[in-house]
Amino acid sequence: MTQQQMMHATNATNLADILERVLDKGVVIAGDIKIQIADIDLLTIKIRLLVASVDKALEMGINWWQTDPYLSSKAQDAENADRIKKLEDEVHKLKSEA
Amino acid sequence: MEGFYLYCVRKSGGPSVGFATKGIDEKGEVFTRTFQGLEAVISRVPLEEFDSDIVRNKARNDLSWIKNMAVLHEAVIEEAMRGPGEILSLIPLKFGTIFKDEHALEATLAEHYEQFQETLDRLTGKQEWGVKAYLTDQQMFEQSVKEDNAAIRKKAGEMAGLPEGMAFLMEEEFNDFVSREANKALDLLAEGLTESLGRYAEAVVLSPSLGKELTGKREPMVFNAACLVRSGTIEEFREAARQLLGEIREKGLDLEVSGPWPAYHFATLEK
Repeated sequence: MTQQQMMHATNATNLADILERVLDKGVVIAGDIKIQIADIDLLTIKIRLLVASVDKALEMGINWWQTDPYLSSKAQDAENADRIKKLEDEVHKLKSEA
Repeated sequence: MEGFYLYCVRKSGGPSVGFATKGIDEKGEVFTRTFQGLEAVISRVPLEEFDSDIVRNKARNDLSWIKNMAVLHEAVIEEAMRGPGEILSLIPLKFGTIFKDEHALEATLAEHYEQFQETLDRLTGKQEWGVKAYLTDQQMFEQSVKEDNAAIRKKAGEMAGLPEGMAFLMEEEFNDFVSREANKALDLLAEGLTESLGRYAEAVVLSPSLGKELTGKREPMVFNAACLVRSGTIEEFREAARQLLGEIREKGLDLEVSGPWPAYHFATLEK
């Protein structure tokens, strides 16, 4: 048999390949003497959820993390108050003319 | 106190040379323990370190730690795969499989002895190869779909005959239709790839495509397969993959082949 060339090098793609295999796959052998290192599955799910949510937001053109709802609603309130004041003045003016 | 980290199980009788790769803790030597024709590839690890809240916490939250551990784990298994002039079949174990002492390890090997033997027999003379496809040029792909798809050509023809204002109104609907057809075409293409690869493989397993954050690529992954290929037909398999790449490149896709991998997708213990 000819020597197979190992094609792996730890570039970005192969890192993904490695993570996918090592963290997701591999034979699980049961037994009470086995010490399992934490919730790896949970972590991979977390990564995938993160990927999905950021991608979706970018896709939709939403940059929600850059807007501050508190500040923007404050600005809106000030503008509304200004508008109400103008309308009230106008009503007063109309009343006094009538 | 030290425990034993188990990386993989292979058949004994291979070369009894030492491992160049260090263990998962980057200190311990990797060595083998033979058990009735099976060989466990292990290294000593400090139990208090690996069975601690610190490690559990890192495994939950520290992505760079996890990445590093996965690469170290994989490096040992890849060295265990390399026989003199051939790829050895082995059973990769789940990340983080640790035994308190050699007796516990031996007891587990004894308990699963037949399953290990059966699985290794099934995998002997076969290798796992990965095939992934990426959508590198979405416009090119949509263009190829438009050209091949009679329904799209018909709609486009109808729109061409409409007054400019009407055509403008129809455009959004038309674009949605093209996107839907492109998605369908992508599914069909994946089915076609699976079928073609299946002719050169003993088995093909499809996995969900990986996200861009994991691949580090700008192009989305659209196909993710693992193939179990006979060692004697690897060249035919790779040639077939090259031909498939030639076909799909014209449609704006790229194909990536990697291997040989430890048989992560095929080394399952039969009950």
